[in-house]
Amino acid sequence: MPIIPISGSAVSRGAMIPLGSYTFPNSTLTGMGFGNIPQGYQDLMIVANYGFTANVAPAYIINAGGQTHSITSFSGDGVSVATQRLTNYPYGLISQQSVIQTTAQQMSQSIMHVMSYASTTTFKSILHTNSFGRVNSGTVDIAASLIQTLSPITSISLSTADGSKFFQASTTVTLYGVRSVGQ
Amino acid sequence: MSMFPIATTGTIPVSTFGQVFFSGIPQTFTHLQLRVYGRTTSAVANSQTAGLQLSGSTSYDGHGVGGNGTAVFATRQGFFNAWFDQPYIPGASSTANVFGIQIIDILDYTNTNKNKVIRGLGGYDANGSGVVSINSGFSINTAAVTTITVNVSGAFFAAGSRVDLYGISTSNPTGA
Repeated sequence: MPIIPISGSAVSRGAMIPLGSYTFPNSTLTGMGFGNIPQGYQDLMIVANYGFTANVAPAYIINAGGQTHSITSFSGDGVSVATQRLTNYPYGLISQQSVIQTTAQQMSQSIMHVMSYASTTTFKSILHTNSFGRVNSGTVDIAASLIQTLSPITSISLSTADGSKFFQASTTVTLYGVRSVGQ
Repeated sequence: MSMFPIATTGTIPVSTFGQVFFSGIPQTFTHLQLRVYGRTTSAVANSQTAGLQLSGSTSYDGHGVGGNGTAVFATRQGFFNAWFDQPYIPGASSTANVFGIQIIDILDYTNTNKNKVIRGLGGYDANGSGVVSINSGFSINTAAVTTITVNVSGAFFAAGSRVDLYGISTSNPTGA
């Protein structure tokens, strides 16, 4: 059993490092992306507060695409619970719940933990928590997704499943690097 | 609120460790977070839980809800269970190169007047199998948390696994 030493010097520095943030200035954009992601952190965390101008499934694309994505989720809507799975998909889904068209004041929230994103020996696992708060129609879910690639993640873009719907103005997306001891 | 790295296993290089043990945990934070990127060598089932012990306590109660893509489930550990059951990670029979995630929050871990509440989010997807869940429970022990043990029962952490411990502070960040 490994005994893990406590790193006294490391605890003086924060773990979550903001790498980039974007606020949608209007409702005419179909997506955004982060490129040239530094490879020196342990994990990535994406925090999105977003809405769309039409009903849509929110999606993400890692690097240039071409990988196989899959997702398993568990959700509830105040009436019932459900579990879903999607396999061999061309891009990742932030959530398997569709975002219903909302006003700019009625946003959804997603937090995605992209673990060991710089690894070259393991597939990429992501843990998602999502909440869609609306009067009488909100949902909450947790999901795990997989990208079958051994390549490090160097770019992430957020879009819609068909790439043709618009984000609401004031949508914000922030990318953090999660530092481990010694990083 | 700021998060600080306290300790890490680093990437576990070989599949010979069944437990990870953090000791001497600083008592200067408000909460703790454990982030596990793991897989076990167990061939007993496709999905495996990992057990958690705080300060060596062997009394836990816990419960969880989740789904495996086909069915939803609710679980409850037996009262005074020896370990707190974390969300599932893949076992030896799962697709190669797939690792699971467990993000465990332990609140107010230095307080000596209350049992320690634990909340875990986690799971994995293996393109056709997998599971996600939300687990919570508590240690039936009011002692401050000074050590944490993470255990994969009857097996080892697969090479490539990793466990990181973070402290969460309510004070302003001091760096980075």
